[in-house]
Amino acid sequence: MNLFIVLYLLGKLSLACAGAILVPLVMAFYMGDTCLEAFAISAVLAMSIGYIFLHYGNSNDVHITFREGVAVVSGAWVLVSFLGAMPYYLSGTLDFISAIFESISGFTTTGATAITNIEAVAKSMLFWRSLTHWMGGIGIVVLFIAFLPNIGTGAVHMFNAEVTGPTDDRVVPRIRETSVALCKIYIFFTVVQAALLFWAGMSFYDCINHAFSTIATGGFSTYDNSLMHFNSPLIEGIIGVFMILAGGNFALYFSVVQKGPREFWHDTEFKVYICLVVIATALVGLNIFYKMGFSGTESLRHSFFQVASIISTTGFVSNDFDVWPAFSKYILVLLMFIGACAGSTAGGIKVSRIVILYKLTLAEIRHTIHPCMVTNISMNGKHVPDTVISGIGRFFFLYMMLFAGLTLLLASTGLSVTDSIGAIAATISSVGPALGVAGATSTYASITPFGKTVICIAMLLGRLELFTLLVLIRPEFWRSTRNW
Amino acid sequence: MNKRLVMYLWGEIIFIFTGYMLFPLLMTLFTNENRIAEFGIPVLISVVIGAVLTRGKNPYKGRLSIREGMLVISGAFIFVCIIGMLPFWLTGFTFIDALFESVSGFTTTGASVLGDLSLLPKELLLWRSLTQWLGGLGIIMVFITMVPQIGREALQLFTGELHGESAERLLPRITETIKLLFYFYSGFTFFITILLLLAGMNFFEAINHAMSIVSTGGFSIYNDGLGHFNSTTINLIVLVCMFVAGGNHVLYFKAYREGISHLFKDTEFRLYVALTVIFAIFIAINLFNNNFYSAGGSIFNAFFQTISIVSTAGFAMANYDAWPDFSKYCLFLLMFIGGCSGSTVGGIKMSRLVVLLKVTGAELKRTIHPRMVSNITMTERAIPPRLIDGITRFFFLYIAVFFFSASLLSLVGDLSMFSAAGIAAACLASVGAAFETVATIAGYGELTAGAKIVAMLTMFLGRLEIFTLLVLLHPDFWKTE
Repeated sequence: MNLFIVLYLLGKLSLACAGAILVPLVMAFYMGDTCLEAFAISAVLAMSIGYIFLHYGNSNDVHITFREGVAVVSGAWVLVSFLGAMPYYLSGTLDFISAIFESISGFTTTGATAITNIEAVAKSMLFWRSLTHWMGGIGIVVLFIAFLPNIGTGAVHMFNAEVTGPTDDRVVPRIRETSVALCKIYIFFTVVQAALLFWAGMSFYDCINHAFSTIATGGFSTYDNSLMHFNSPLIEGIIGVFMILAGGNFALYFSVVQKGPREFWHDTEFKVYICLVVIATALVGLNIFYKMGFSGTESLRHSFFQVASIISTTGFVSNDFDVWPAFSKYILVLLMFIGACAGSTAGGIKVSRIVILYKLTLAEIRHTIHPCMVTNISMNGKHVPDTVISGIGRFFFLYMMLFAGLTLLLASTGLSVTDSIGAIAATISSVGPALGVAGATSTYASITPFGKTVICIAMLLGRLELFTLLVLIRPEFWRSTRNW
Repeated sequence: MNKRLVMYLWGEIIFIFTGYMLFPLLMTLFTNENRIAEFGIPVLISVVIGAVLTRGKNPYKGRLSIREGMLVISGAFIFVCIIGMLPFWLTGFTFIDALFESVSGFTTTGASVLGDLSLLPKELLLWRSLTQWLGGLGIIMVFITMVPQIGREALQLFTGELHGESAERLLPRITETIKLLFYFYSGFTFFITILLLLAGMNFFEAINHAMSIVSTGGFSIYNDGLGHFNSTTINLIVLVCMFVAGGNHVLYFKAYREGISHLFKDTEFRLYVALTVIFAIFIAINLFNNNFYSAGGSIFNAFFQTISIVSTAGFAMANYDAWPDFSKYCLFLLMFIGGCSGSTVGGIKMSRLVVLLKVTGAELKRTIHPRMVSNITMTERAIPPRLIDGITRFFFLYIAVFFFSASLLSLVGDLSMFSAAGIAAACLASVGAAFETVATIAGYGELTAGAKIVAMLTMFLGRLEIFTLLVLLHPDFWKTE
């Protein structure tokens, strides 16, 4: 593996991170926040790490293979999570583990928080939280590819290692342009949503923060009780719709822009996604209507918002769903696992994988009846290659196994079964609020440092879709490459 | 589809089944003559149905097709469950309770809704244990004998000898295998009975528990299960026998014929031992740290419960529902895993887990070397890609059915999340005992009627390995060729 190019790119990234920290730094300066120093030190730290890496790194041999791609992406996420944690830690807002937890939760767009009293934290710090969401949502490396140097053909490996979904669907042939296109859509959505929220009556500061958080399907709010603070159906409606949009495939939006809105109905994944939202809203709505004593419109409002929030893996809360009946909670946990569409900012297994798994199961049944039958799996009229199909089955198994294993580790800290299952389900699919101790109205603050470490691993694994991180532990990865 | 043949086979199975029903009938003759009707009527009904279905002569020509095989298995299962419920129904239990008990018995789950067992007549208790024993026997027979007709690849998981052989040469071997398995199953039951007798049980207790253990069912004839005896010797015997019952029966034969070393060369058996030990140690440490038992007590309790769950028997030695959450979660995970294939256990099973683990490892390697061709082997045999695909799809379906069943249970049964998850997992893997409301197997009596029906369907799906039943629901199945 060419470590020099990895170091070089990580150095550049570190400098970019320093640049990002400047935004809340300036904000803290104008607002006279107490955490000015913390931001300044963090920025300097990021800059010095960046220069050290650049010094030892080397960009002469720009040949990025799969290995370097994976190394850059994994390294980038670890590095950025560390740098992003510095402001929380240095300002004394959180202890070290919690700061790392908060930073990973931000960048992976999980939205699980360890801060117990959010409203007491300085505004610039909360803005940094939302900004980490926004950067993590589109993908640190995708942002990097879009705005920073031209790193040649190898960028495809970095892109694939980070972007979610079973197949890589590029909207335009070249990776750099794809990244730029994705960023444009991303920025466009953010701006439109911020404007709408402002119109709906939020303050300028709140609307920027919530727009960042929504479009990244993150879930950090600037208030302790999340969207319950506003208690406004209009705001919930706007955020609900944008959460669903943020859970859609960004590549699909690009083709909608180019070819017209008919594209929506040619895309199986998007149709299934919308169907899931509708069915889940109806089921949860009926359940809470009968069991919780809400009025008809209120049940619809809360069920729609909560379903949109969970399936898009955002994690905003409009009503304490922890006290809802067990059936509704089951639906929500199920949605956590499913997640939204591939190529979006959401986490989870992804609708496209579930669709393919469902088709495979049907094919298996038919195959049992007609043993000599050859079954073809297609999606959107296109044949799905065998390697992708077998990869999906294995991904599903690995997802469930890691889920079970991490839950076991978390339960060993003394958490109850439901709490541990909820916490890992919510963080591995980057939702945020879970059930019980880490439920809708509480935070992850009470979890032990070991438990937080476990959850951090879950969040990173979930965001990078398991394989990118897990190949690092295979010895083959580190063995020197031979050229055949 | 050859309908005559399917019906004939149904009739045959019902006849065999009726034969076993004569045991409790005979028992009523000696003990309690005014209860003859409870068993006499079902025997008469099944004899009539059997006679109508077989109509005298065997129309068997050639081999069973896949569809016929599936229909025979599923149909026979339904017939047997319905006839098997009649003694309970005639005794005075509600229709749903009687059916539940019967389904729970034949699927070797061991969940009970009968309430206070001390009020029940002895022959009914014997029938309960017998349903499990018959269910277990049927499963072993079916999945070793019918499976080759349904998908020959699957059989390779059980017996390596059959690899690559033609169907004609396969048949005599299968008849031989069936006989051996029947002898082993019966002999093992007899052996456990003797052991339990020596440990201090009376004959009736010993035979009932032996049937329950060898079929990995879990019914006891006392309300407090094994706690009734309060004997370490008995618990130890049960522990060891459950573990043996959860292993591959075909493998035991191989080990018997070709040396004990075969046992430990088998990947599946090795994983079975390893996982059992690992989980038991986890639980033991957890119990000891939380001051539940002494060091020895923690280890014994942990091993007993781990083996009871992984072999999907579901016996309980202590009130494990009071254990710390970590231990309960370990047990919950074990429910999904289940024991070895080629036995009466439910769950995903070790052989599938081995393949899934290896395949996932290979996928990680393939991510690094995208053009790599990887072979998955188990006990030095290559697993064909078709089978691997089938296993990953089975895993997905298993998890999907679990989720579906658990959420439905929470809705119709008004249960908490964990309780519903426990019931769904326990019924799907034919364990029986779960957590909270159903921590003891008698807890199922407290469920609502709707929840009992869902639990029953879950047991049924789990026992027939999901696909067998779903295939019947597919329209292609009923289309004529």
